[in-house]
Amino acid sequence: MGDRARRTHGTGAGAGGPDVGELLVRVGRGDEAAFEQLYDVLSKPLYGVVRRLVRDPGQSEEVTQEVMVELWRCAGRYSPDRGSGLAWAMTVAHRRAVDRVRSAQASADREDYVGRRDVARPFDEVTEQVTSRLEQEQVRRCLRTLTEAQRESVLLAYYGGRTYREVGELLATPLGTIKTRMRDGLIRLRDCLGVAG
Amino acid sequence: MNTRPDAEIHALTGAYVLDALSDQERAAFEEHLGACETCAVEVSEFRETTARLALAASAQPPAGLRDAVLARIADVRQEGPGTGENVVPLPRSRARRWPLRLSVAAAAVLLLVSTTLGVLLARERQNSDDLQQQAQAVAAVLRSGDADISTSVSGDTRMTMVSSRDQDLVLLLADALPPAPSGHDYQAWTIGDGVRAAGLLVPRDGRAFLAVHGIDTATEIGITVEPAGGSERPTTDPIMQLEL
Ligand SMILES: [Zn+2]
Repeated sequence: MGDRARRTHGTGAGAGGPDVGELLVRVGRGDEAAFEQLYDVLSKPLYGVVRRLVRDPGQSEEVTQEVMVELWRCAGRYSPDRGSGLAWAMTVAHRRAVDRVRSAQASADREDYVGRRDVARPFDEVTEQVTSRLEQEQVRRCLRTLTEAQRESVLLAYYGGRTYREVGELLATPLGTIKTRMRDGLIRLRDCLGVAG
Repeated sequence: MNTRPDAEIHALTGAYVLDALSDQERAAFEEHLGACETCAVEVSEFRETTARLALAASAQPPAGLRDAVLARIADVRQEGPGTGENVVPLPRSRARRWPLRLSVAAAAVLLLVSTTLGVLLARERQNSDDLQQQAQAVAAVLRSGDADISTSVSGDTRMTMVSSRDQDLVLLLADALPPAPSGHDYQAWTIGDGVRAAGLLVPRDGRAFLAVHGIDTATEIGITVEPAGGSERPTTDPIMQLEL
């Protein structure tokens, strides 16, 4: 390790930085410089989500690394007609992190973990001041347009890595209701954020 | 309320994008997605939406992570449509090694092992007892404190080695291993004070698995191409050498 050129760390590129889609296209062609930029743009949201899913800092670091390597490996599959680069990358990332967490937790500690409900409380200690306030405020405000039950179902799945079955058990709610809440919750969030597909 | 199955499946868009479906449900929904424009549009919008949840959760990763990631991609071959051009040449057979933390890394290996075994199991029913034993051996190695995992990449082929001195056992897992030339097999050897035959690696759909018992003083595992059935002593130069 450390045999590669060390370059200056980019400062929080955030939403106003280089376009993730363009970076992905270049990374897909093996462009390592583009990958470094991609890391700088994606590592914070990625690490933030993984921290919520995995909890343990050491393991979060490992999973984040795995996901970044996975993005390097499969960036060639991205094309702009598959939606925004950010959405595509976070889709790959979330799925992979969730898969890793589920297989790692096929052991006893999962029981204990499933009981935790605090994931449903948005933006706690994990969120350091790296997101623009505006972005966070907007998401926070839009999450309030969901019913409590919808918000809980969406966040337990997205930040907590729970399946809808687990969410159903946790909230003692029929599975059909949970599916509907997840969908309705995302519809409200989408409409509030003014997201286009 | 409409409860026809096809009506129900449309309602899964939310759970799908949140990765809240089981593997089977996910596969079934993805099949549906290919045929249902309405769901495809909704899924795409929901993905943009959850990306905002990700942005809002941003946190500062540890400082060393960037260099670690950049160092690792040197060993990782890219896949997909873009790979035809401008591909960075891969260093040959550069091994990377890290101590096994019995957590995520172990889970990943376990997943790889069980996938490999699953594929083999499906093809060779008659040997399933053997494979069951191998699966147990893998689990034992992963549980033992001194297990060590390393991976080597040579061309497309990725070789993962899990070794344990305590268990006196090495597990080899090959991925994307092309079939041996006609009339030949891949043979593994333990290399130490002497060279000992350690078994054949027979790829099925690119995957091969081999448990090597009795590593004693060996410091390396070598893999050579030998006439079908294997040789008593290696007759060619190793195509891969893995340091123990
Ligand atoms: Zn549909």
